[in-house]
Amino acid sequence: MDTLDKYLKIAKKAVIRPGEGDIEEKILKRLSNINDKDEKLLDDNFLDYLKKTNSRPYLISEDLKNNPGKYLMLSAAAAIFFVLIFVIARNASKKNSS
Amino acid sequence: MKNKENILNHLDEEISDYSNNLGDMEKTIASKNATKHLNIEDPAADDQDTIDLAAEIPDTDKQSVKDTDNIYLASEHPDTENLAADDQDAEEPYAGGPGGAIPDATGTKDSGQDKDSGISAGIKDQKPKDEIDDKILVAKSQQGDKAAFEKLVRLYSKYVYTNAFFILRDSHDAEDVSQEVFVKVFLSIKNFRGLSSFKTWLRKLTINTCIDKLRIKSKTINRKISLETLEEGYEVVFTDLNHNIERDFFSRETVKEVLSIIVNLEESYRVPLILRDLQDYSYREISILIKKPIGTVKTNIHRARKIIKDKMKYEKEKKR
Repeated sequence: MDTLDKYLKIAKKAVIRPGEGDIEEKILKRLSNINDKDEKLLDDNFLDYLKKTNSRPYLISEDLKNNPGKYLMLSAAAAIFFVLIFVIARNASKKNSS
Repeated sequence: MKNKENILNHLDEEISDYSNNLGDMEKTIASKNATKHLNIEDPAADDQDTIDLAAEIPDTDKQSVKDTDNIYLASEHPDTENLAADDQDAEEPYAGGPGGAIPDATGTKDSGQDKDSGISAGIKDQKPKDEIDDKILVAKSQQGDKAAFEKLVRLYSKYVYTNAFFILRDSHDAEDVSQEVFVKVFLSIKNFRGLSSFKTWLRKLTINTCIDKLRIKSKTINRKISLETLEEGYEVVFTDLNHNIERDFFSRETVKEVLSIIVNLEESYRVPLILRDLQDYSYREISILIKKPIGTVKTNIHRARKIIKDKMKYEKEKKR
Protein backbone atom coordinates (compact mmCIF):
# COMPACT_ATOMS: atom_id res chain seq x y z
CA MET A 1 0.00 0.00 0.00
CA ASP A 2 1.14 3.50 -0.78
CA THR A 3 2.58 5.28 2.29
CA LEU A 4 0.25 8.21 1.82
CA ASP A 5 -2.74 5.86 1.63
CA LYS A 6 -1.60 4.32 4.90
CA TYR A 7 -1.52 7.71 6.61
CA LEU A 8 -4.83 8.77 5.09
CA LYS A 9 -6.37 5.57 6.41
CA ILE A 10 -5.19 6.49 9.90
CA ALA A 11 -6.31 10.09 9.37
CA LYS A 12 -9.89 8.86 8.94
CA LYS A 13 -9.86 8.09 12.64
CA ALA A 14 -8.69 11.54 13.63
CA VAL A 15 -11.12 13.78 15.44
CA ILE A 16 -10.62 17.49 15.98
CA ARG A 17 -11.18 18.65 19.50
CA PRO A 18 -12.88 22.07 19.30
CA GLY A 19 -10.72 24.81 20.72
CA GLU A 20 -13.25 27.01 22.44
CA GLY A 21 -15.73 25.37 24.76
CA ASP A 22 -17.48 22.09 24.42
CA ILE A 23 -19.19 21.49 21.10
CA GLU A 24 -21.60 18.98 22.66
CA GLU A 25 -22.87 21.51 25.14
CA LYS A 26 -23.20 24.17 22.45
CA ILE A 27 -25.26 21.83 20.30
CA LEU A 28 -27.44 20.78 23.23
CA LYS A 29 -27.96 24.41 24.18
CA ARG A 30 -28.91 25.21 20.59
CA LEU A 31 -31.33 22.26 20.56
CA SER A 32 -33.01 23.50 23.71
CA ASN A 33 -33.73 26.81 21.96
CA ILE A 34 -35.37 25.43 18.83
CA ASN A 35 -38.28 27.53 17.61
CA ASP A 36 -40.55 27.78 14.58
CA LYS A 37 -37.93 29.73 12.62
CA ASP A 38 -35.69 26.67 12.61
CA GLU A 39 -38.22 24.88 10.41
CA LYS A 40 -36.73 26.99 7.62
CA LEU A 41 -33.56 24.91 7.89
CA LEU A 42 -35.52 22.03 6.41
CA ASP A 43 -35.25 23.54 2.95
CA ASP A 44 -35.83 21.88 -0.42
CA ASN A 45 -32.26 20.56 -0.57
CA PHE A 46 -32.64 18.84 2.77
CA LEU A 47 -36.10 17.46 2.02
CA ASP A 48 -34.82 16.11 -1.27
CA TYR A 49 -31.91 14.46 0.56
CA LEU A 50 -34.29 13.00 3.15
CA LYS A 51 -36.61 11.67 0.44
CA LYS A 52 -33.72 10.07 -1.43
CA THR A 53 -32.20 8.45 1.65
CA ASN A 54 -35.59 7.02 2.55
CA SER A 55 -35.99 5.39 -0.86
CA ARG A 56 -34.60 1.86 -1.17
CA PRO A 57 -34.67 1.80 -5.01
CA TYR A 58 -32.73 5.09 -5.06
CA LEU A 59 -30.10 3.77 -2.63
CA ILE A 60 -29.70 0.54 -4.62
CA SER A 61 -29.39 2.40 -7.91
CA GLU A 62 -26.85 4.77 -6.35
CA ASP A 63 -24.83 1.84 -5.00
CA LEU A 64 -24.94 0.25 -8.44
CA LYS A 65 -23.77 3.45 -10.11
CA ASN A 66 -21.03 4.04 -7.55
CA ASN A 67 -19.69 0.49 -7.64
CA PRO A 68 -20.23 -0.73 -11.21
CA GLY A 69 -17.17 -2.99 -11.08
CA LYS A 70 -18.39 -4.82 -8.01
CA TYR A 71 -21.77 -5.59 -9.52
CA LEU A 72 -20.20 -6.54 -12.85
CA MET A 73 -18.00 -9.07 -11.05
CA LEU A 74 -20.93 -10.41 -9.06
CA SER A 75 -23.13 -10.81 -12.13
CA ALA A 76 -20.25 -12.45 -14.05
CA ALA A 77 -19.69 -14.88 -11.16
CA ALA A 78 -23.41 -15.62 -10.99
CA ALA A 79 -23.55 -16.21 -14.77
CA ILE A 80 -20.57 -18.61 -14.61
CA PHE A 81 -22.18 -20.44 -11.69
CA PHE A 82 -25.49 -20.92 -13.53
CA VAL A 83 -23.73 -22.04 -16.73
CA LEU A 84 -21.76 -24.61 -14.69
CA ILE A 85 -24.94 -25.87 -13.02
CA PHE A 86 -26.64 -26.10 -16.41
CA VAL A 87 -23.71 -28.04 -17.95
CA ILE A 88 -23.52 -30.44 -14.98
CA ALA A 89 -27.28 -31.01 -15.06
CA ARG A 90 -27.23 -31.66 -18.82
CA ASN A 91 -24.35 -34.13 -18.52
CA ALA A 92 -26.13 -35.91 -15.70
CA SER A 93 -29.35 -36.20 -17.71
CA LYS A 94 -27.40 -37.52 -20.73
CA LYS A 95 -25.77 -40.18 -18.56
CA ASN A 96 -29.15 -41.19 -17.14
CA SER A 97 -30.74 -41.47 -20.59
CA SER A 98 -27.84 -43.53 -21.97
CA MET B 1 -24.87 -45.42 39.77
CA LYS B 2 -22.19 -44.23 42.17
CA ASN B 3 -19.91 -43.51 39.25
CA LYS B 4 -22.62 -41.43 37.63
CA GLU B 5 -23.19 -39.49 40.86
CA ASN B 6 -19.44 -38.91 41.18
CA ILE B 7 -19.26 -37.62 37.64
CA LEU B 8 -22.27 -35.34 38.20
CA ASN B 9 -20.77 -33.98 41.43
CA HIS B 10 -17.47 -33.40 39.69
CA LEU B 11 -19.21 -31.57 36.87
CA ASP B 12 -21.15 -29.40 39.38
CA GLU B 13 -17.88 -28.46 41.11
CA GLU B 14 -16.27 -27.57 37.79
CA ILE B 15 -19.25 -25.44 36.77
CA SER B 16 -19.24 -23.57 40.10
CA ASP B 17 -15.45 -22.99 39.81
CA TYR B 18 -15.91 -21.76 36.26
CA SER B 19 -18.71 -19.36 37.22
CA ASN B 20 -16.61 -18.04 40.14
CA ASN B 21 -13.70 -17.40 37.78
CA LEU B 22 -16.05 -15.70 35.35
CA GLY B 23 -17.37 -13.48 38.13
CA ASP B 24 -13.82 -12.49 39.12
CA MET B 25 -12.94 -11.74 35.52
CA GLU B 26 -16.05 -9.57 35.10
CA LYS B 27 -15.17 -7.67 38.28
CA THR B 28 -11.61 -7.07 37.03
CA ILE B 29 -12.87 -5.90 33.64
CA ALA B 30 -15.43 -3.60 35.28
CA SER B 31 -12.81 -2.05 37.55
CA LYS B 32 -10.39 -1.56 34.64
CA ASN B 33 -13.20 -0.07 32.61
CA ALA B 34 -14.08 2.35 35.40
CA THR B 35 -10.44 3.44 35.64
CA LYS B 36 -10.27 4.05 31.90
CA HIS B 37 -13.44 6.15 32.02
CA LEU B 38 -12.02 8.20 34.84
CA ASN B 39 -8.89 8.82 32.80
CA ILE B 40 -10.86 9.93 29.79
CA GLU B 41 -13.21 12.19 31.67
CA ASP B 42 -10.61 13.75 33.87
CA PRO B 43 -8.76 16.57 32.07
CA ALA B 44 -5.80 15.96 34.35
CA ALA B 45 -5.63 12.46 32.95
CA ASP B 46 -5.35 13.93 29.48
CA ASP B 47 -2.46 16.02 30.70
CA GLN B 48 -0.90 12.90 32.08
CA ASP B 49 -1.10 11.34 28.61
CA THR B 50 0.74 14.32 27.19
CA ILE B 51 3.44 14.03 29.78
CA ASP B 52 3.83 10.33 29.09
CA LEU B 53 3.97 11.00 25.40
CA ALA B 54 6.65 13.61 25.85
CA ALA B 55 8.61 11.29 28.09
CA GLU B 56 8.70 8.64 25.36
CA ILE B 57 10.47 10.83 22.84
CA PRO B 58 14.05 12.10 22.79
CA ASP B 59 14.83 15.48 24.38
CA THR B 60 15.46 17.12 21.03
CA ASP B 61 11.92 16.39 19.90
CA LYS B 62 10.26 17.52 23.10
CA GLN B 63 10.36 21.16 22.12
CA SER B 64 8.65 20.41 18.81
CA VAL B 65 5.88 18.60 20.68
CA LYS B 66 5.29 21.68 22.78
CA ASP B 67 5.37 23.96 19.77
CA THR B 68 2.98 21.94 17.66
CA ASP B 69 -0.53 20.90 18.57
CA ASN B 70 -0.96 18.34 21.26
CA ILE B 71 -2.00 14.91 20.11
CA TYR B 72 -4.00 13.01 22.62
CA LEU B 73 -4.67 9.37 22.22
CA ALA B 74 -8.10 8.11 22.95
CA SER B 75 -6.94 4.53 23.08
CA GLU B 76 -10.52 3.41 23.26
CA HIS B 77 -13.27 3.74 20.72
CA PRO B 78 -14.97 7.18 20.92
CA ASP B 79 -17.99 5.46 22.33
CA THR B 80 -16.03 4.65 25.46
CA GLU B 81 -15.93 8.33 26.21
CA ASN B 82 -19.62 8.52 25.52
CA LEU B 83 -20.39 5.48 27.57
CA ALA B 84 -18.62 7.24 30.37
CA ALA B 85 -20.89 10.17 29.70
CA ASP B 86 -23.80 7.73 30.02
CA ASP B 87 -22.94 7.26 33.65
CA GLN B 88 -22.97 10.99 34.15
CA ASP B 89 -26.32 11.18 32.42
CA ALA B 90 -27.76 8.82 34.93
CA GLU B 91 -26.85 11.14 37.75
CA GLU B 92 -27.58 14.42 36.05
CA PRO B 93 -31.04 15.02 34.64
CA TYR B 94 -31.42 16.34 31.12
CA ALA B 95 -31.27 20.01 31.78
CA GLY B 96 -30.84 21.30 28.23
CA GLY B 97 -34.15 20.18 26.79
CA PRO B 98 -37.28 22.23 26.90
CA GLY B 99 -38.97 19.46 28.83
CA GLY B 100 -36.60 19.86 31.76
CA ALA B 101 -35.55 16.81 33.73
CA ILE B 102 -35.98 13.65 31.73
CA PRO B 103 -34.85 10.32 33.13
CA ASP B 104 -32.19 8.33 31.31
CA ALA B 105 -34.29 6.17 29.07
CA THR B 106 -31.69 3.61 28.16
CA GLY B 107 -30.83 3.04 31.80
CA THR B 108 -27.47 3.03 33.51
CA LYS B 109 -27.66 -0.65 34.33
CA ASP B 110 -28.19 -1.51 30.72
CA SER B 111 -25.27 0.57 29.60
CA GLY B 112 -23.12 -1.09 32.22
CA GLN B 113 -24.07 -4.47 30.91
CA ASP B 114 -23.37 -3.31 27.41
CA LYS B 115 -19.93 -2.22 28.42
CA ASP B 116 -19.08 -5.60 29.86
CA SER B 117 -20.56 -7.51 27.00
CA GLY B 118 -18.74 -5.20 24.60
CA ILE B 119 -15.44 -6.06 26.20
CA SER B 120 -16.09 -9.76 26.29
CA ALA B 121 -17.27 -9.62 22.70
CA GLY B 122 -13.93 -8.15 21.70
CA ILE B 123 -12.84 -5.25 19.56
CA LYS B 124 -13.91 -6.95 16.30
CA ASP B 125 -17.54 -7.01 17.47
CA GLN B 126 -17.46 -3.34 18.50
CA LYS B 127 -18.71 -1.82 15.25
CA PRO B 128 -21.89 -3.88 14.74
CA LYS B 129 -22.68 -3.29 18.42
CA ASP B 130 -22.35 0.47 17.88
CA GLU B 131 -24.72 0.26 14.95
CA ILE B 132 -27.22 -1.61 17.11
CA ASP B 133 -26.81 1.04 19.82
CA ASP B 134 -27.41 3.72 17.20
CA LYS B 135 -30.55 1.99 16.00
CA ILE B 136 -31.88 1.81 19.55
CA LEU B 137 -31.05 5.45 20.22
CA VAL B 138 -32.57 6.55 16.91
CA ALA B 139 -35.73 4.53 17.57
CA LYS B 140 -36.07 6.09 21.02
CA SER B 141 -35.39 9.56 19.63
CA GLN B 142 -38.12 9.00 17.06
CA GLN B 143 -40.49 8.31 19.93
CA GLY B 144 -39.55 11.69 21.42
CA ASP B 145 -36.98 10.52 23.96
CA LYS B 146 -34.76 13.57 24.42
CA ALA B 147 -32.24 11.71 26.57
CA ALA B 148 -31.65 9.27 23.70
CA PHE B 149 -31.17 12.15 21.29
CA GLU B 150 -28.75 13.78 23.69
CA LYS B 151 -26.73 10.57 23.62
CA LEU B 152 -26.65 10.68 19.84
CA VAL B 153 -25.38 14.26 20.06
CA ARG B 154 -22.67 13.23 22.51
CA LEU B 155 -21.71 10.28 20.30
CA TYR B 156 -21.43 12.18 17.04
CA SER B 157 -20.85 15.87 17.80
CA LYS B 158 -17.05 15.64 17.43
CA TYR B 159 -17.39 13.49 14.33
CA VAL B 160 -19.66 16.05 12.68
CA TYR B 161 -17.45 18.93 13.85
CA THR B 162 -14.31 17.26 12.45
CA ASN B 163 -15.87 16.62 9.04
CA ALA B 164 -17.09 20.21 8.92
CA PHE B 165 -13.75 21.62 10.05
CA PHE B 166 -11.71 19.78 7.41
CA ILE B 167 -13.94 21.07 4.63
CA LEU B 168 -14.54 24.59 5.93
CA ARG B 169 -11.23 24.99 7.85
CA ASP B 170 -12.82 27.50 10.18
CA SER B 171 -13.79 26.57 13.71
CA HIS B 172 -16.72 29.00 13.91
CA ASP B 173 -18.18 27.80 10.63
CA ALA B 174 -17.64 24.20 11.72
CA GLU B 175 -19.51 24.92 14.95
CA ASP B 176 -22.35 26.58 13.06
CA VAL B 177 -22.63 23.65 10.68
CA SER B 178 -22.53 21.14 13.56
CA GLN B 179 -25.38 22.94 15.28
CA GLU B 180 -27.35 23.28 12.06
CA VAL B 181 -26.91 19.60 11.24
CA PHE B 182 -28.14 18.47 14.65
CA VAL B 183 -31.11 20.86 14.50
CA LYS B 184 -32.03 19.37 11.11
CA VAL B 185 -31.63 15.87 12.51
CA PHE B 186 -33.70 16.74 15.59
CA LEU B 187 -36.51 18.15 13.48
CA SER B 188 -36.56 15.33 10.96
CA ILE B 189 -35.50 12.22 12.84
CA LYS B 190 -39.09 10.96 12.86
CA ASN B 191 -38.91 10.71 9.08
CA PHE B 192 -35.59 8.82 9.04
CA ARG B 193 -36.36 5.27 7.90
CA GLY B 194 -32.94 3.85 8.72
CA LEU B 195 -32.20 2.34 5.30
CA SER B 196 -28.60 3.47 5.70
CA SER B 197 -26.81 3.67 9.03
CA PHE B 198 -27.39 6.76 11.13
CA LYS B 199 -23.69 7.62 10.95
CA THR B 200 -23.69 7.53 7.13
CA TRP B 201 -26.86 9.61 7.02
CA LEU B 202 -25.37 12.16 9.41
CA ARG B 203 -22.05 12.26 7.55
CA LYS B 204 -23.67 12.90 4.19
CA LEU B 205 -25.94 15.52 5.70
CA THR B 206 -22.89 17.25 7.20
CA ILE B 207 -21.03 17.18 3.89
CA ASN B 208 -24.06 18.54 2.02
CA THR B 209 -24.46 21.35 4.56
CA CYS B 210 -20.75 22.19 4.31
CA ILE B 211 -20.81 22.26 0.52
CA ASP B 212 -23.85 24.57 0.63
CA LYS B 213 -22.00 26.79 3.08
CA LEU B 214 -18.92 26.85 0.82
CA ARG B 215 -21.08 27.84 -2.15
CA ILE B 216 -22.62 30.73 -0.23
CA LYS B 217 -19.19 31.72 1.04
CA SER B 218 -17.60 31.66 -2.41
CA LYS B 219 -20.29 34.00 -3.66
CA THR B 220 -19.82 36.51 -0.87
CA ILE B 221 -16.18 36.26 0.21
CA ASN B 222 -12.95 36.19 -1.74
CA ARG B 223 -12.00 32.53 -2.16
CA LYS B 224 -8.28 33.08 -1.74
CA ILE B 225 -7.77 32.96 1.98
CA SER B 226 -4.34 33.74 3.25
CA LEU B 227 -2.71 30.71 4.81
CA GLU B 228 -1.85 32.88 7.81
CA THR B 229 -5.53 33.31 8.57
CA LEU B 230 -6.00 29.56 8.83
CA GLU B 231 -6.46 28.17 12.26
CA GLU B 232 -3.42 26.37 13.52
CA GLY B 233 -4.53 25.79 17.06
CA TYR B 234 -6.77 22.82 16.46
CA GLU B 235 -6.17 19.71 18.40
CA VAL B 236 -6.19 16.28 16.76
CA VAL B 237 -7.38 13.25 18.70
CA PHE B 238 -6.97 9.77 17.31
CA THR B 239 -9.64 7.24 18.04
CA ASP B 240 -9.95 3.51 17.60
CA LEU B 241 -6.33 3.02 16.61
CA ASN B 242 -4.61 -0.30 16.84
CA HIS B 243 -1.95 -0.52 19.48
CA ASN B 244 1.01 -0.60 17.09
CA ILE B 245 0.06 2.78 15.69
CA GLU B 246 -0.66 4.12 19.16
CA ARG B 247 2.88 3.32 20.18
CA ASP B 248 4.34 4.71 17.00
CA PHE B 249 4.77 8.36 17.83
CA PHE B 250 6.26 9.15 14.44
CA SER B 251 3.30 7.69 12.53
CA ARG B 252 0.98 9.93 14.51
CA GLU B 253 3.19 12.94 13.86
CA THR B 254 3.20 12.15 10.14
CA VAL B 255 -0.58 11.77 10.06
CA LYS B 256 -0.88 15.11 11.80
CA GLU B 257 1.47 16.59 9.23
CA VAL B 258 -0.62 15.11 6.39
CA LEU B 259 -3.80 16.56 7.91
CA SER B 260 -2.13 19.93 8.26
CA ILE B 261 -1.14 19.88 4.57
CA ILE B 262 -4.69 18.86 3.59
CA VAL B 263 -6.23 21.68 5.62
CA ASN B 264 -3.89 24.15 3.91
CA LEU B 265 -4.73 22.93 0.40
CA GLU B 266 -6.70 25.08 -1.99
CA GLU B 267 -10.45 24.43 -1.93
CA SER B 268 -10.57 22.84 -5.40
CA TYR B 269 -8.01 20.25 -4.26
CA ARG B 270 -8.96 19.96 -0.60
CA VAL B 271 -12.67 19.19 -0.88
CA PRO B 272 -12.44 16.39 -3.49
CA LEU B 273 -9.47 14.82 -1.68
CA ILE B 274 -11.28 14.85 1.68
CA LEU B 275 -14.44 13.44 0.14
CA ARG B 276 -12.54 10.70 -1.66
CA ASP B 277 -9.84 9.70 0.83
CA LEU B 278 -11.36 10.55 4.20
CA GLN B 279 -15.07 10.12 3.46
CA ASP B 280 -14.96 7.28 0.89
CA TYR B 281 -17.15 9.03 -1.66
CA SER B 282 -17.00 7.74 -5.24
CA TYR B 283 -15.65 10.00 -8.00
CA ARG B 284 -19.19 10.13 -9.40
CA GLU B 285 -20.68 11.28 -6.10
CA ILE B 286 -17.98 13.95 -5.69
CA SER B 287 -18.57 15.13 -9.23
CA ILE B 288 -22.32 15.54 -8.56
CA LEU B 289 -21.75 17.17 -5.19
CA ILE B 290 -19.24 19.81 -6.26
CA LYS B 291 -20.73 20.16 -9.73
CA LYS B 292 -17.51 19.44 -11.62
CA PRO B 293 -16.80 16.83 -14.33
CA ILE B 294 -15.44 13.47 -13.15
CA GLY B 295 -12.23 14.07 -15.10
CA THR B 296 -11.59 17.33 -13.23
CA VAL B 297 -12.31 15.62 -9.90
CA LYS B 298 -9.83 12.82 -10.66
CA THR B 299 -7.16 15.27 -11.83
CA ASN B 300 -7.58 17.48 -8.76
CA ILE B 301 -7.37 14.52 -6.38
CA HIS B 302 -4.25 13.26 -8.19
CA ARG B 303 -2.66 16.71 -7.95
CA ALA B 304 -3.63 17.08 -4.30
CA ARG B 305 -1.97 13.75 -3.49
CA LYS B 306 1.13 14.82 -5.39
CA ILE B 307 1.28 18.08 -3.43
CA ILE B 308 1.02 16.18 -0.15
CA LYS B 309 3.72 13.71 -1.18
CA ASP B 310 6.04 16.50 -2.34
CA LYS B 311 5.53 18.49 0.86
CA MET B 312 6.13 15.41 3.00
CA LYS B 313 9.29 14.67 1.07
CA TYR B 314 10.42 18.27 1.49
CA GLU B 315 9.73 18.21 5.24
CA LYS B 316 11.59 14.92 5.55
CA GLU B 317 14.64 16.32 3.77
CA LYS B 318 14.44 19.50 5.84
CA LYS B 319 14.58 17.48 9.06
CA ARG B 320 17.75 15.72 7.87
